[in-house]
Amino acid sequence: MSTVRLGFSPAPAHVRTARLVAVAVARRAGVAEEVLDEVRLAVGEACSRAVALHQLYEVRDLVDVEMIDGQRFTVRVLDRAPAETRLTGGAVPDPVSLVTRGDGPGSAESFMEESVAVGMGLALLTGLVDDLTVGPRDDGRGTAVAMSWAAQRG
Amino acid sequence: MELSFRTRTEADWTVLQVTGEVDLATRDELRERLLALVAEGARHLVVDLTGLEFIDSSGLGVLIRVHTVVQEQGGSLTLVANQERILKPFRVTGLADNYFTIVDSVEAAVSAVEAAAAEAGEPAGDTEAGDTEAGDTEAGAEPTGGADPADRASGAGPAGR
Repeated sequence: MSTVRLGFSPAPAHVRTARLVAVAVARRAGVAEEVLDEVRLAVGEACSRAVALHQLYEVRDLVDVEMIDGQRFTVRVLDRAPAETRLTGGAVPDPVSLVTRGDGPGSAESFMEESVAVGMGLALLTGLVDDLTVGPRDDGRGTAVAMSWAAQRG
Repeated sequence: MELSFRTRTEADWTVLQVTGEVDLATRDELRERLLALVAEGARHLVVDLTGLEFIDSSGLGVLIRVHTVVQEQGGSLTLVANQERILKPFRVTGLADNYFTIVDSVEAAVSAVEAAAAEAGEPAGDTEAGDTEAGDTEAGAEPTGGADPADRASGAGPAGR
């Protein structure tokens, strides 16, 4: 078992770096080529969520990403933001209903875009990752989003 | 990583080709570009994602917002995508089946736009009609098609022109 850790300031520009590293480590761990796009997307969503929360709560701590090459390839994205319930509070709403129920006209467009994007992000994470767990970090401060994929040994 | 854009306008439709990666860091660029096209009078937007390398929920949020805006103005938004990695987020969220019109080529998108326009009784974007003012996307400059004038009145005239 080997581990790669990455910590980055909560800025959107670094999410791409996290995606690239995750895919490189996943490939090395033996994750199937056709699954790498899912890894890229899911890790990107988890990191974007962490960055957005750090920005929302003005938390300057690094967002941490742990990539563990074990029985399965596991990625943990760790934030330091106050716990929020959108990922842990039960069922994810049907994403299409978010955009078709007509919550408000143009003046609320930017809010609409933001809340829709958050809903889509959750839908992507839950839709892409079979093995997704979300819970408090070990020290109780912040949230850990853990995902894993099968790693085939050649 | 920045996005790059190429725009092509003909008759009543405008194609925006987007290359790069759309995420939290670049979504503002995409939104500003698309909303600027709408403000300039683009009515039927075709967003060509075939050269895109990545799109996530931030990009979906932008496209949904722009779709809402163009619909309110009586226009349309059609997406062009043919790579699985780009189609996947639209499929997983159900947007591919239930919300966006997604086709696999710009030609198909333009045909869809023109067919919809013909169905609505509007003059299709037929560039063979002689009057080929390629840069002129002013929807209000068209002859009125006769179908639903109220809809045209609300949709045709982008403010600020």
